[in-house]
Amino acid sequence: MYRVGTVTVREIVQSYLDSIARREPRIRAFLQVFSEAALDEAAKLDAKGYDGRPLFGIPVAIKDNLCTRGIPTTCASKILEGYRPPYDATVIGRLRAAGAVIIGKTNLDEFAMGSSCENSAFQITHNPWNEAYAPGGSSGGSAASVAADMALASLGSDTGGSIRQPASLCGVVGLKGTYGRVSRYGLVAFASSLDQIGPFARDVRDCALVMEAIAGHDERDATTIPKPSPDLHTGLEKGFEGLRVAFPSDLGKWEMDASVKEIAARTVDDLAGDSVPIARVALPGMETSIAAYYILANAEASSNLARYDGVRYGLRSSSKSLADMYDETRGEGFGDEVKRRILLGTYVLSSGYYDAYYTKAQQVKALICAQFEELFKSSDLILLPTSPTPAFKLGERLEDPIAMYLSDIFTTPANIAGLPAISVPGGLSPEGLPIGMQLVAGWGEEAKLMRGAFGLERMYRFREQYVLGPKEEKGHNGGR
Amino acid sequence: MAAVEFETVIGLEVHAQLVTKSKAFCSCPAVYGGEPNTQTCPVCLGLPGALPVLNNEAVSMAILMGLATGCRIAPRSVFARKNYFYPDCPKNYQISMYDKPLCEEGRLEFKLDGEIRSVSLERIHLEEDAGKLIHADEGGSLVDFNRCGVPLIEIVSKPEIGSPEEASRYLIALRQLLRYLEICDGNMEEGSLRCDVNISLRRPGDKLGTKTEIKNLNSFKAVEMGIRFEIERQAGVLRSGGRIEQVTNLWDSTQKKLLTMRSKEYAHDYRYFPEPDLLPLDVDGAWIERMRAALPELPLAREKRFRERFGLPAYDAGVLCAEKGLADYYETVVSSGSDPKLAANWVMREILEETKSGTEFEGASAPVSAERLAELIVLVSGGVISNSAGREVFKEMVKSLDPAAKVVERLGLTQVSGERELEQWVSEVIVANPDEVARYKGGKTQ
Amino acid sequence: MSLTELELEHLERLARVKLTGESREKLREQLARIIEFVKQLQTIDTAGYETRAYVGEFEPALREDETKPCLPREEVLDAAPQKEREFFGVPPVIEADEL
Ligand SMILES: [Mg+2]
Ligand SMILES: [Zn+2]
Repeated sequence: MYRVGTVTVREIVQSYLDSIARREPRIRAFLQVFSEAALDEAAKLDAKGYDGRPLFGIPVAIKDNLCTRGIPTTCASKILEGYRPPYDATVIGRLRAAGAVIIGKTNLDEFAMGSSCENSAFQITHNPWNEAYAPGGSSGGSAASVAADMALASLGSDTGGSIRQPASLCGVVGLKGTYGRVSRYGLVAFASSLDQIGPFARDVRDCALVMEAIAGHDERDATTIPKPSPDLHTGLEKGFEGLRVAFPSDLGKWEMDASVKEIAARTVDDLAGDSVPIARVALPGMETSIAAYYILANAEASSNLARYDGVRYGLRSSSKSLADMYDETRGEGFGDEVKRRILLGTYVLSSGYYDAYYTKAQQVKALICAQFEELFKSSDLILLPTSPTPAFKLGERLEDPIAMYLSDIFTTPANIAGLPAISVPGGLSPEGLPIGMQLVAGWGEEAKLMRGAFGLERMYRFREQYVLGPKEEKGHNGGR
Repeated sequence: MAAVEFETVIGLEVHAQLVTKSKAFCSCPAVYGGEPNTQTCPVCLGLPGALPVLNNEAVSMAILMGLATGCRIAPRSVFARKNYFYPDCPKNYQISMYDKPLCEEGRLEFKLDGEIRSVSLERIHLEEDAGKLIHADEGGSLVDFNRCGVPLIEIVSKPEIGSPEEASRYLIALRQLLRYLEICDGNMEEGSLRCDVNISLRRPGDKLGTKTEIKNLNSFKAVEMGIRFEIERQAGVLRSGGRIEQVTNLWDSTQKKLLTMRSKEYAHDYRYFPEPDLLPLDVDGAWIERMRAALPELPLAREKRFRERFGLPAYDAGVLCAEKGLADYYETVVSSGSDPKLAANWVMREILEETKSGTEFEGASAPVSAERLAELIVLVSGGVISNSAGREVFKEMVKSLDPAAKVVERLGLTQVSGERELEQWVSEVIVANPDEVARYKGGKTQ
Repeated sequence: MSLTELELEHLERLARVKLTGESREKLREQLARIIEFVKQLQTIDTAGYETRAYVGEFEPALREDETKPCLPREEVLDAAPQKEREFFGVPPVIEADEL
């Protein structure tokens, strides 16, 4: 990630804290910054000296839905304001074990529900490429923190695209592994069968290193894959060598920004030019995944969020009766988007509607999984845009939840089928906003995924070509 | 005989706490009685981000119960979330099983009026217990989460029980079986065994009537009384031309009456769906066979053997087999040289009198060890002392903890001279029963 | 479609969320639209597909029956909005009334 020996960890951490001091007042990516703790940790690492650990001295930002012992973990919700968990999420322990320095906790849509980071109860995060625009979501703070050089890498969580979409909108790399690759222990659950923690980084190699550090079986999460997780960084340079790519033949059917279409088309041409075999395929789940996703995810959410009731922790209304305590605590503590989803999830599970909605969505899930399995018999990677549009203006989609939901159209299929997927910055729109392209691999095939992503990165030369941010910042952010 | 006005149809749902060391989904101790809120962790407190991991011993115990009741053990069962808000339930959902339970289609057999009755079981599934609510005087309630997450099996009968007495017999037999299997201590006072009942009435020949539920029937007596009250109540409603409403009642054990559960402010729709935090539970043939091999001789089979092998009357065999510990004790007395029928008399009379409990008998804490009781019986049956002297000796043995021969000597109850000789005599009689002694030394009482 | 007052009240009670003021009307309208939107799934032909709740193939992940230290009570009660001695306090739970 950087060459050791030329700088101290303290200098590195300090430079990121300086960057936070400059950029954060306008970006608002962080809910908390641990300046002192990070410098203390850095001093300790310097005292020990470089010991070869993969993330030695790397400043990492953490999405605030990951539990940190004794440190507020809010999920950007009023209902958890001030809540301090008595334990660390598994990934926090793994980051520390790999030598990382945790620099702060980042903003998100409340309980990771949203695609713009505007559903935070505490603040709005701005897109570092243009502050009038949303950074995407729900892991918008984590994406923006890396894009604005306020952290070298960060962790987010992806339930329906919540890592890949903000990565695309902020011009960074964002990875979601196979379902079960990273332990969810200590990730505040949104939709347990879909949630996965994953990294953001400036490039594919960094992303691979962070993923290697956090991945692997965890005895505290029964859904983690009980196999060693793959080496993701060796052989990245091979790129698309020996890999067969599938590209949706019917992409034109969906409403998309012209600039996104153009980058997608150019990518296909360039890959073909490099003699990468490209098959035109019908993409599984394009017609159905959003609806299936909103049913399955919110059904689980309605149950996962039932625990916020004012009894053991968090907000409690001053009600006289038990029923009122529940109704008012939750009525006051949750924001509108969260309530909307809890009610939808309750609706699809309630008697009389269960089969038509929940059961049907599970059958659709089976269908989508089967179609992906079939597709991956003859292809190794699927290439498609990450988001149908570049970043949208803050406030633009707030009143139209369905339009907001549709921005997940390209990302939800991978969640439903539990497949690994990554977003790599591919270029800029005419307005100067980043556009990411996405790769999806078969179950457990992160190694292929990362090679393909590296191939795209080498082809796009995004970081070499584009410099982020307001003019006066160029010097700082240019090609570190 | 007058025609029966109403037939009663009863089904029981019994929750039994399993005696695992740790809870169902976390490593907190599952033992009863700790200081409030000292046996919890992020998992059983339902803290944000915590995840359940299933205790394999709880599964083994549930399989054992399934096999003992002739259930089909599902090769794949699925945990589900049962969603409802209640302050003793920290996640506001209970991890349970719904459409794919671990055990299905079994039966529980027990004796009723000398006949064997068989009640079909619909299912036995695994789930987690809730915490405990304490109603404080100051107008609030208190919650202790220690019990939260303790593994339970829920045993659901089919509605095949016809009377309060039969329901109570069913529950006694269920408790007996759980204790034989050593998977539940059956302590109803402490709540390790809890019973809910469904009741409906119908006129003979009619289809099933609307059922009501009674919760909190936490003693055999409460089961009988509660059911009787509810039958009377329903009969009264039906006689006056009314309709039975589908309600849930609560048995108030102090006031000995039924209360009606509040339901207006709560909607009842549990919205079960597969628990995404746990994978489906796969139980292979090897696991099932391992548990089958661990099954002890079951109560009714043992009773039959006691009757046939020891020539005991059915009543005696029933009393002696009520508890596995008692049956084991009795068999040790026999295998230590006592005549089986005399042994039965002595155990049923002196030992049960002394322990005052036929429902929780542990051989290790018997007032007199089985071997020493056998020695005493041998003295009586050999005519060394009279029967009534034997009872006196027994009392003294309990007090002094001395062996029978020594007590006999001390009280001067025998013609045989000297303690040594008496002891030798006893041991000779006992050795004359090589068959039983060999069985005893082999350590097997089956 | 629309969501009747009765349906919305039922949902609020099941989910134990009280909607108030203007946002209640707004949410009702949006919820109805979202339900209408996800309803499109019902037109998809899924004949021959069992429901699927889990992806991937796993070994059973079970735990040995061993105990580990619990959280100290002070830490357990630390975040409680209402502590009563060594317990969590809640408004009175009235389970039942006279028949
Ligand atoms: Mg139950
Ligand atoms: Zn626990």
